[in-house]
Amino acid sequence: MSVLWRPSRGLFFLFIMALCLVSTVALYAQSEVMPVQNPTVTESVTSENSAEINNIKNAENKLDSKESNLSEKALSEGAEAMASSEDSIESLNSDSNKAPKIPQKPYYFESSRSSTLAVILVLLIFVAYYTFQAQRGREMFIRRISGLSAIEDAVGRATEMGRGVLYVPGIMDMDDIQTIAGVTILGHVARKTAEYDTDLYSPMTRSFVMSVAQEVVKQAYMEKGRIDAYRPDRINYLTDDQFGYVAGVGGIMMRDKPAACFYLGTFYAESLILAETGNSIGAIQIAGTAEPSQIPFFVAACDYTLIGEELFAASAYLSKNPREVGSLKGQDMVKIVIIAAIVFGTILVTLSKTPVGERLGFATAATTFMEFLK
Amino acid sequence: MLFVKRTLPLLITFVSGIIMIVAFFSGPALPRIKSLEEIFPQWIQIIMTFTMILGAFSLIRFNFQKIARKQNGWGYSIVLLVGFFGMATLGMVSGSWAKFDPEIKENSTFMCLAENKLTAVEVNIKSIETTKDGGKIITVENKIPDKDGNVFTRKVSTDRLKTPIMSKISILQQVLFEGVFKSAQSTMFALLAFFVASASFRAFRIKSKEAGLLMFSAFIVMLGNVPLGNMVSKLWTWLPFIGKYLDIVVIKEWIISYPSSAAQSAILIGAMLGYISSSLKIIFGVERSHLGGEG
Repeated sequence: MSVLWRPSRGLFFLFIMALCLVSTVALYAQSEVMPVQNPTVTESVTSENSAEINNIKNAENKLDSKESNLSEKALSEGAEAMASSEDSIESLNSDSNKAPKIPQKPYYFESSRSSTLAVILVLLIFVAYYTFQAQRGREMFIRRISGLSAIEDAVGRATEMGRGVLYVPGIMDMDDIQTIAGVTILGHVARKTAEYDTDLYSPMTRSFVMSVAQEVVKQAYMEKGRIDAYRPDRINYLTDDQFGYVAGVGGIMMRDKPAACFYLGTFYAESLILAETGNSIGAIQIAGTAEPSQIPFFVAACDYTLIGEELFAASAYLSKNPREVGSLKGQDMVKIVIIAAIVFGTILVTLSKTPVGERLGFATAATTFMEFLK
Repeated sequence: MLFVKRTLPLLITFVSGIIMIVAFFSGPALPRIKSLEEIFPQWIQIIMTFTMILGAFSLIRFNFQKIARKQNGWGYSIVLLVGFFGMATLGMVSGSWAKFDPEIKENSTFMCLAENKLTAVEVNIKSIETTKDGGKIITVENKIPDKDGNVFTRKVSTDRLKTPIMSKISILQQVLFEGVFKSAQSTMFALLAFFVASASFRAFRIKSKEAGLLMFSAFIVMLGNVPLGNMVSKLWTWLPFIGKYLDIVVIKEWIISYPSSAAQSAILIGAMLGYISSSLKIIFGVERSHLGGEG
């Protein structure tokens, strides 16, 4: 199990250090070669031009404020102001064309993505720390997730009723993390169906996912010593078409009447059609997706729903693997950092809007903080 | 065997993952690395295309087995296989296969497909113009004049000019695609309307305090989206003191903009962290249950 983990632990730290080093060097190099962040902007704005820019801004502000009143007069004034501002922009452009342009040197680090790098680094540090803590034997608490705890009950119910289990790992391909999470949970469900000798149906919308799912289920049946019960024809490809797939799965549901249905992965408009068909056959249904627009449909039509991150936590929750549990804890710590930032920012912005806050310089602090977050 | 099944995929994942991260953060000064950000997704597309063969093979085998064993619903498998092979053949033949398309010469007769490719008329080729990019624009004239005796002339692209047999094949393919496939697709999508009604009926049954709140807010949002909501708001303006604050549309907007939006943002933040965390776990080989076996 730890064949690749041990070398990758070293790589893990090496990677963090390398990223830190590269980003520091790149930022330093960038500050040397790039006086301006935006590569399209040229260093040609003279004092006259900046005065003109202020005039344009004033004209635009005037237009905004006038537009809010929605009176015809204000609109016409605003339009005039805008027209004059457009003239100014044209003259400004012609001026700036005449001015000498300073060519931009190419830069090594995409600074517009530095906030993403910061989040990844913080997450990486927390995940690494808690993973090592978990490996050293530190107990990590995971709250109960009803949907995942109900998996065994659902498979048990299907066994008692003498009916099968239907598993749908979403409608996207293996390049989607939600599909990978769905296939991972399929492995756990397959272990249960192998243990209880229950039929497992898993029609697929992508042939690549089918191939991976067949391997995962086969491995699960082998682990439980029930390879004879493994049926690759039940993990079959239907179609790539969204509604063609729904029609196919609906047909399987109506003909075979599975007692438990799992929908875990990426779903779009088909979520409700699947869940309502499952409901009509009286199946116990467990769904999970990170698509915010589909969660209400699953909540309305299914017995249990894994919301957003719970789908990704499933693997750690079900396997109780210390490495994965540790990474889950690290993820939670980043969430705390984000919540703290949101609360701090909210307080800062609220204070900046009060007269006292304005006097004490909270407005500047709030603006600086918001810029930092961006 | 274990190396091929477990270690090699983990190594490939690790190397590809690191390359993609580096490419994502690199600037224009590193053009070769930066270009990988576009090249890698193209590789994925190529691999996915090859897996379609795998899917087609699985589909054919599964349905042939079903027919051979005369399993429950084997008749549907016949329909599926006929549809599969029929559409594949028509699609391949009606496509731009040079062998089936004779050379277009001036004063020759062709069938010209309509823009929706569902009908065709017999035309004479009047002139052929070559565009800058090497394409051809053909001026054609209807062979049969309309009921007023006018001969209709227009400019068309070469893909719309077919021989009589090829035009019939193209029309049949298009009729099946538009008339059967797209109609069936729309039917499935239309079912959603009925399912929304039945699911919301169950969701809005007040069984707990939370369900009651859900019902109450859903009622306001629904009312705010229909003209009746404005009428109700006007009625309430007669109420003393609180009447003017009970504007259904304003309350609806508030529900959507604040509580609903805040909850969605929270879900998104959690999901995005899950995305990053899962990706890192996969890159570093911590999460490997998708390769089979325990993580």
